[in-house]
Amino acid sequence: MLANNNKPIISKLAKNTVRANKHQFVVLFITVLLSAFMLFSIFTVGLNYLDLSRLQNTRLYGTEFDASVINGFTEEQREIAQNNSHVETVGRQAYSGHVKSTDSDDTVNVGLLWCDKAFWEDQKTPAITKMQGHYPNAENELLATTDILKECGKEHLNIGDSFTMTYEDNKGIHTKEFKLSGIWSGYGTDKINFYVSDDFYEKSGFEPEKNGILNIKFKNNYVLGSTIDRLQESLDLSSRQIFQATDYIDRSMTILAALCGLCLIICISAYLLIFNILYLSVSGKVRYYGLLQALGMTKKQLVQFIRKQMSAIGIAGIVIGILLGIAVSLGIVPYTMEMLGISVGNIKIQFYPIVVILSAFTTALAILCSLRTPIRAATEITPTEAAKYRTNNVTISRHLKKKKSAVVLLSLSMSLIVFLCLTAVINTYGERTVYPNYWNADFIICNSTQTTEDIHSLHPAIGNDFLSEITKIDGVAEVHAMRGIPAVFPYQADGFSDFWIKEYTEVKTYLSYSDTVQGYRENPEKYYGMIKGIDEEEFDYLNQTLGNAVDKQSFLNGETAVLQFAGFEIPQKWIGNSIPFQVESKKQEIKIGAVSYGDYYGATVNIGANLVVSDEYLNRLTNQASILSLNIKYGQSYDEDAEQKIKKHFNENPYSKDLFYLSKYDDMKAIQDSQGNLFAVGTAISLLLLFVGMLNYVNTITSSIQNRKLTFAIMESVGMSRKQIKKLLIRESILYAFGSIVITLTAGMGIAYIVFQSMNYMKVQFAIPVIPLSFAFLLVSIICVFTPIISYKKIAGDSSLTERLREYE
Amino acid sequence: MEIAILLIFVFLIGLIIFLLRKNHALKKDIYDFTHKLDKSLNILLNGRKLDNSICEQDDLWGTVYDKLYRISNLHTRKNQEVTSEKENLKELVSDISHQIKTPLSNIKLYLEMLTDETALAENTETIEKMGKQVGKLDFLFQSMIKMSRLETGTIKIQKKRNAISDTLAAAIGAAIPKADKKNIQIHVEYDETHRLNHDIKWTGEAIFNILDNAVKYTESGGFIWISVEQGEIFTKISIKDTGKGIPLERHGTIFNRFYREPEVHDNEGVGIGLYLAREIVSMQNGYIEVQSEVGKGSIFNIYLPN
Amino acid sequence: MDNMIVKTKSLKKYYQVGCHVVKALDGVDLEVKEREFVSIIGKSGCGKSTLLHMIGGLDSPTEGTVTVDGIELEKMNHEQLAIFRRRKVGFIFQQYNLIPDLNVYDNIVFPLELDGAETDTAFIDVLLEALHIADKKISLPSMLSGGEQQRVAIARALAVKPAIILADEPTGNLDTSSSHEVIGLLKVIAKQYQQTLIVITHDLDIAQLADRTIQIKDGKIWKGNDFYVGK
Repeated sequence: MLANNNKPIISKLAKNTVRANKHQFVVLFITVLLSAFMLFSIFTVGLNYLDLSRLQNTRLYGTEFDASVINGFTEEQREIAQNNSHVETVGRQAYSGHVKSTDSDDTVNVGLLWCDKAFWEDQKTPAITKMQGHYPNAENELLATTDILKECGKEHLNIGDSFTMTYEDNKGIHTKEFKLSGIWSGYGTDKINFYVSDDFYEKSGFEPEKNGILNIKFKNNYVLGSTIDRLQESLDLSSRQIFQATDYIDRSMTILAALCGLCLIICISAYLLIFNILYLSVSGKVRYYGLLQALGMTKKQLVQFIRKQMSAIGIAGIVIGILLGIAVSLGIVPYTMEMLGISVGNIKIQFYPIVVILSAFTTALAILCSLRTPIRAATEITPTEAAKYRTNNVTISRHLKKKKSAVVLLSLSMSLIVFLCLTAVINTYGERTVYPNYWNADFIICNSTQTTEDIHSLHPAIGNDFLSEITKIDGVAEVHAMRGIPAVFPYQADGFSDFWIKEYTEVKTYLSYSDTVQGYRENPEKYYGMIKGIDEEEFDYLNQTLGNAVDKQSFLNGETAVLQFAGFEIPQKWIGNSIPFQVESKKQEIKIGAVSYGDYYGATVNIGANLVVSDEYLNRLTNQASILSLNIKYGQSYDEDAEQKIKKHFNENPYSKDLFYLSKYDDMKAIQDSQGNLFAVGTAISLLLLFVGMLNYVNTITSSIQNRKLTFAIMESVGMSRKQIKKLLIRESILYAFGSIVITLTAGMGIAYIVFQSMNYMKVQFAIPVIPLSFAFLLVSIICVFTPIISYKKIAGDSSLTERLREYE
Repeated sequence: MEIAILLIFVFLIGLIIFLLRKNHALKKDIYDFTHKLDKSLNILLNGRKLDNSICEQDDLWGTVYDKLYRISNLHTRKNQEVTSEKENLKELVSDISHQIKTPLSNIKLYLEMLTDETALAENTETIEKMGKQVGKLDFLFQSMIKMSRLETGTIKIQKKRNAISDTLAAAIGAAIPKADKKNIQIHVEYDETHRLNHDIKWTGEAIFNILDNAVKYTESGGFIWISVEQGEIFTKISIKDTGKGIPLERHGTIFNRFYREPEVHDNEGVGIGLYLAREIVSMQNGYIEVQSEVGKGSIFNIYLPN
Repeated sequence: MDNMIVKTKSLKKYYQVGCHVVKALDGVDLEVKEREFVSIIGKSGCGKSTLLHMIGGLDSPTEGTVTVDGIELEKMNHEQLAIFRRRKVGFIFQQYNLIPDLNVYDNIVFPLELDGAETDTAFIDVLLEALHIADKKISLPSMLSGGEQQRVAIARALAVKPAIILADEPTGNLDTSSSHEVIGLLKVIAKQYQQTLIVITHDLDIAQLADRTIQIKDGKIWKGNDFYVGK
């Protein structure tokens, strides 16, 4: 079938229609443009953020991996991980000793590492910028970086050169000649280690079960939290093994989901707007479409005609929107990344062609979907409509009125809800991500006069005067002082002190157990611990974090103490046991009630155990206890005045050099500063969405008033004043504004709460962003009220009543 | 890289296959089209009529076939027209012969009477009567000639931009003697400067015919108003009389050839005046409208395009 | 029998309004000869517009058949009816119904171009000349007077040289002198191009310009007033 050439007239008609209805089509164009732009920007920023976080992770650790098992692994665990369907590669890494000296440097502190092929070839490669030579094959081969060579005083060596070094492995100290098999440069903490061959590792006496690290890389860049959890469970880790997923993989899915959610909302609001405009225009042109058909336009041509109108606008909007997006994101994204705390340095901002396709496709899809109903409505019009008199077909318009009111209300509310969600999340970003101090303190001051091996090093840098001054400051609600006194744990074979020192030497692998025990027996005060006293309230909090494992009364009475975790596992058998110790040379004994795993009570540098006891008990032991730290709480979190005053006192303290502080306020500020751009980007996006919602409203109201022109003229002719008509319009529009605000405050609040909580890692209280929200509400109300008034003025204008009445006859 | 090359390769292959198929389909369509066209042209060449136009497909063939169908229709219609023209002429001849019969036989009668009668006084009366019949015959012939020339299209209307006043003056001038005889007053109202693209001679004839009719059917002492009005497209020349009027059902028939008012058979005339007037106006892309009520007179509006 | 361009046979159209049935047309048998000028008169709501819509293929009958130029309309689907309308029928509406976004010329050639047919520009110029709107060729409909708009609508109806022109109260919006002119013009041009013309009107003077007048009453042709005039 040869087609006849009837396309030009349809194109011409479409072109003229677009030209004649500039107002509507400009709105459509802007909508498409904004949607494409926003989609492109969000995808680009989001994917860049994810990619750069991943890259940052890779460079930080020197490996591209998603999760790791440290402190050893078994072959079974490796196989389980390897067989997991989500896992791509499992790399092995292990400690194989350390270098003591070389022939040109006596004090070398360089480790020896081994890794397998999977690690080196799949996981390490992305972090390597330059590689010469190859991974060691023979036992006497080493892979180095220029940094290590320098450390060893061997910076002039080249591949193939040999040198002699003394190293210690699990079997003792050896001196051997080694050959450089390769030199690499790149990123990662392993830069200060030599890599050794498989043979070397096998002979080093170290076992992967104890010192190995398993690096797991997932197949996908985005993995559900539950997948990670399941993997961890399946590995059946022992208590000394630690499973750790990287920040990136932990958050990637959430961020991706948030991205998609945002994009969905953008698409929906674009859909609603386009749908509404086209549907309105179809319903306002029932007679026109009837006429076209009466003149011999087939339904197929009618569909072509409507599609053509939209396709020109759509293509132009998408292209310009994306071009704008490219321009903006190439300019803004690097800046954003910098602000987000991802060092840009030599990282190139990626331009993703897939994002162009994705955003264009998504926008086009939204347009196509929004076209469907209007097209169907247009084709349902019969040619007889052409012969009817008035534009308004009562049955259609009543049906439509409901639908379009709903659409407008929905679109308005949705814009407001997105605005609410974004502002709620962004406003509290600093607070949400701030890592809380112990007991959620606003300010912590610590005494850091202590040194590791000198039991007498502790000075009373925080005096009672200082304490009372701090307490008196306005805005400070609570001050909890932790006092402490050094204590000596005398050595007992197979006793607590022996257990302690044994575990200690295992953590510090370079220490030999026998030597250390020898030293301990000779000078137990070098391995002193601390007895730390806390008040009742602090105990209540501590006990709560321990799951109320300690009997309060016995703690207060000084019968029970809480042992501070020191990086190694404390077997259950010590709980409930009494431990002997000496304070001021007097022998004491106290029962261990529980182990505390937080780090607040372990912040001192002593090697020996830290025991947390009650204030009263401490006072009974000694009157020489010094204040170790102050845990300060403000009446109002982030109270700037109190913060300034405390800092002033702090600086005036003569010991201020030996003190340090942690400030929640400073942390929050630091994060918030780095998020400045995120805030701007988020606000811009939410404002743009609000704009789209408003566009929809303005357009619908304008055309509805246009359609009701006659009604108003008739109302006026029977004696309604213009003022009264305006009042009527205002009442209507207030209903819209009010309705959308109510929906936002109810359903929107719920959605915002859910969104907020899903991103709330730090359990910050959900707070309504009152100021931006009231600003948005005000804006919506103003526009809602003024749009109908202005558009009514425009149509009523100067034309006389009779003129307006006649226009329809 | 290899994947990209492979993809491009696959894409190109696909494109080539697509284009080849498209080309093939196009070829087939063109052959199909040509075949249908050939078939229809053969039908036309053989002088047969094409089947009813199909309005089934929105394609090129549909459009072209519709045109062919129209040509075929035109062809048939032309044939019909030629036939009907012949019929018309035949009819005209028979009409004329019929019309001529009466005066001719009268003349024959009078001639016989003249031959038989010798008294001079009697003869003068007969000659007068004969003269009347000859006059009638002459009028009849004049009309016949005009009519046949109009009918067969041997005369051409020559339109020129002339003042309508001249045309009116000529027509009125020709009608005045009769009107004076019946004491009918003719009122004329027109713009002297009004110029109209028309044929002076034939338009004058048409106006005269209507005017003549008006005079004929208006009682003595009646009035006739003539006015000229220029509209957006047409110029309206209306001729209003105070005659006996025409019943509604005869509004169409009065313009028929040889139509005679049933009540006025004795009056002179052969019933071709209005017919001629209508033909003349039609040939100038104008039309005549009649508004009339029995007993109250008639209005004849001649519309001629500006 | 031959030369009948429009034939309707016991044409019926019923509408369901609320709970009762409105009989817009109740058995209409109408025959219109080629090149005939027929006027249809009747009170508003008598079904004359419905009859015209049926003939023009805008609406489909409840019962009965419509044949136009040998084509049986009830056998066609929407698509075919649209093509039928654009090729065979010229419609003239009371509201003029010009396409506001297209200029006069484009409005006139619209049905032609819908068919993808080659536009006979010379013919269009002749039409514009005859209708005295040649100088308005590139104006938009909104810049024209009512009479001018209706003439554009007539030109549009004539542009395809349709076999039949259907006019539904074409002068309803015009003053008396304009309406007489418009109908006269229609009559003159239809005659010139040998087209069949069916006009709905309520003006008896206008009806009299037709070769034949049909009166419709209560959805039926009122036999008593179905009289032939014309040649």
